[in-house]
Amino acid sequence: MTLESLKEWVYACVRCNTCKYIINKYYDSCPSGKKFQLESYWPSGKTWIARGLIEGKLKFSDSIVQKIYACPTCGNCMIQCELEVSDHILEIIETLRAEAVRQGFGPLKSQKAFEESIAAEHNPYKELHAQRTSWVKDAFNLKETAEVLYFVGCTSSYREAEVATAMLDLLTQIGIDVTVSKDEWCCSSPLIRTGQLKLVKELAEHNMEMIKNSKAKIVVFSCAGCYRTFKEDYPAILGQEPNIKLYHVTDYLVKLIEDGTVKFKEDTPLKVTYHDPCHIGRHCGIYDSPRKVLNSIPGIELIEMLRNRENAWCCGAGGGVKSGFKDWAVEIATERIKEAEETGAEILISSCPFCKRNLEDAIKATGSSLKFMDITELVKNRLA
Amino acid sequence: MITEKILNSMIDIVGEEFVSTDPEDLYIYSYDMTEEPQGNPNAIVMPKTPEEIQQLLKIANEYKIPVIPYVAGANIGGLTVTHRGGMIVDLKRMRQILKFDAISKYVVLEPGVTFGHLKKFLLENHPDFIYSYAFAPPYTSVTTNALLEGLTEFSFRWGCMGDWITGLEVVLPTGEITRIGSCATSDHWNMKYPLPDMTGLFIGWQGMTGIVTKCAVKVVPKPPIRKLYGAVYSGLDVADEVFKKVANTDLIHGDFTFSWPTVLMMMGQKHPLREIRDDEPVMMTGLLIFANDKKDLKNKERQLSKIAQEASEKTNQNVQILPAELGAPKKILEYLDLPSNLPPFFEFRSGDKKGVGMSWLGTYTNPNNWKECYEKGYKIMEDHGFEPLIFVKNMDSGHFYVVRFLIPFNKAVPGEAEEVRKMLEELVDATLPFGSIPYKCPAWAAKKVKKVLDPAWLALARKIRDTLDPNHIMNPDRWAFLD
Repeated sequence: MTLESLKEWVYACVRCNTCKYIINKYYDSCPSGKKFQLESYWPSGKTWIARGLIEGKLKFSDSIVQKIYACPTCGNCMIQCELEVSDHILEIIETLRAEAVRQGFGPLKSQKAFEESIAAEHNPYKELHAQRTSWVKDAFNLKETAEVLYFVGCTSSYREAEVATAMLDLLTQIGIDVTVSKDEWCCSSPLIRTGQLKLVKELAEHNMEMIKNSKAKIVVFSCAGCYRTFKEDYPAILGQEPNIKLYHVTDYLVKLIEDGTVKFKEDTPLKVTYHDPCHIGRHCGIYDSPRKVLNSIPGIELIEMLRNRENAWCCGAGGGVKSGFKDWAVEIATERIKEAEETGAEILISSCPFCKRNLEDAIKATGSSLKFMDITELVKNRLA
Repeated sequence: MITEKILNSMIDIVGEEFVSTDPEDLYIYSYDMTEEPQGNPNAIVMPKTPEEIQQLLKIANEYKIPVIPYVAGANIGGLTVTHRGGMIVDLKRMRQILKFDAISKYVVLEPGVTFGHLKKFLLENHPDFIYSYAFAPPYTSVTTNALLEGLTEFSFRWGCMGDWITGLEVVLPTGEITRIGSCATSDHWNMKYPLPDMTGLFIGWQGMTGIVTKCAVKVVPKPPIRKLYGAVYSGLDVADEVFKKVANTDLIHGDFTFSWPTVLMMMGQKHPLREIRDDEPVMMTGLLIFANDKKDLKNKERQLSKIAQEASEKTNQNVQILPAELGAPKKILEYLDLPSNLPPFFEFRSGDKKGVGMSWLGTYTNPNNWKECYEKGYKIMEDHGFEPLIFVKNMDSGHFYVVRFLIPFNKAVPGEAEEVRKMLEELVDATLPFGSIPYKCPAWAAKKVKKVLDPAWLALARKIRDTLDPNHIMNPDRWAFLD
């Protein structure tokens, strides 16, 4: 997308303010507007910035960059806005970011490091590519090829390895022919979300070739961001739909529960609440599967948070906010932790390692007694 | 002109993150949803407290800087677009609901509290009480709607929202903070009497006499039964007869009347609308009845049927009144559950070229002449190639009516905004002679109003303004006849 291509939509926002709060419930929905308040930080303001740039009345500047990057691209505005432009708000924000990068203004300084690290080591964390699968235990005894490929993602590979381990434990325990690839590269989500598009096609092509080499028929993701990128971004980048079945783990588990592959043991009662990751929720429409999984586990009582499903408050990590606005990211997550605490749940469940990272940071920061667990960890612990 | 020194003073008052002179901020605040041409402020400032506003106004007064109060910018009158620069004082951060009194039935709000937030507050904390919401998106300010004498769902019974105000706290242009009404003597905000009623120094002034920092408005008990009926009319005469008759009863609490093209738009049809058939109604009214119990409701239904029958007989035109759930499309019922989002209005003329914009001429008029205003406006709109989307409302039990010409337009179509302005000017010219007065009146329309204003009224208004705002810093582009 180019800035010019947004022309079709930038006159379609009337600034009626509806994008700012949850429709008919009147709760906060936009982390950016809530924090910074000026019109330019709300979704409608960003649309109008695009309009000003297209009309030549504005030029990119450091202050515009600050505003267009101060957004976790959670997509809550797209749910609340009822005008036709609603489907295009994220596209507008991400195109603004890409254009800012193209003109030499973006991304934020801390986000530039992603590209350098991904170019050198195929991950944004400045870790060695050679260490990508160092979390894999010998006991897994993985083969080069398998029917199912687990696309681990950079965050689970380098920062939240317990999610990756739980996932592989789970799949191998139930007898799935699964493997992971040492040749997996960053899916490119951190680059796309921050407008750094130079390496994206290469990464997508490489990952699709890697999948082909694995001979897998199914790819399963525990990372919501990786799944969103494969499902929503790769077709546009590669010009074709991936010729392979892609499952987020929550959808895959529902399939395995329904066909009897996954069985649970009776266990102690546990109250849990579920946080919808934006990248599988609002971006891909996966709301029911995680709930079906949780409701299938004996002893688990799911208590919904006030804002859930399409209205869920973002964890605050996405869209480059975790790297660009460290304190604010935790502030957003803190609001979510408080909401989770209000349910009376003992465990906060989610299904994204990046959400896990930020929500756990908020748990630490607030001294909350709440525990976080990825859905894969819970399922693994409760397998029959 | 806001110098660096002034800017630094503003930053000292509210903090750096809440002052902006960034071009993108000035650009965004330089437009609203109407056809009003761009007007750039020099700075945006977002205070949190009355004391911060007090300090800001002292600076503005010292340096003669225009001050434009702002919350959502959704007034549909260009009222926050400045053509003299100055500072936009965005009051969004002031969104506390400060007090609720169930006995005296009022709530004290900061200006940033929106209809949506008040509704949420009442539903969660005082479900036995309701407020009267505007036919508008939910995130517009309760206080500004009241100060601008807006209309809402129960205006049939209780008039425009200025009449719901029971107390104010105001920062005057010269920096003094004062309270108006009983709150001037105690912390009871329940009445504006019996002291001289000075709320009128601030209601309807479009922010030219100060910045309201607290506003007490009435709430009303939630009725045991609240039921909506739909009336459709074969002609304006029968509608007129029904309006007048119901106004002389205690049957109705709320009404919204739409021209038939408006009804088609609300049902999802877009510009260009199909031809209206001769056998279709000319208008539809949503009539809201409150009742104490089923017997009371039955009795009111019977009276309403009788009014309909008598009106039909008298005018030889037809009116049909049905419970809304039997007659009205679901979409229309949703839009009448206020406050509501209004995509069909905004997007009515958004076609292949995606673009939205919204303007109107809203007039408060006398009940004797609403039909003439309606008919003249209908023709003017058609002549300009705009569908006659017209809204009529009985106000304060028939003491006055609203005739509002709704003009969704497409900002992506070159020249359309200019055409809208021309049409609006004709609409003002056509309706003023009937005693109509534009509400939320844009500056260009105020100049036309000046031609029919009593010079003594104008002199008094100028004296009041000069007294309160000697340097004319407050929203100086508004009520243009004062200059």
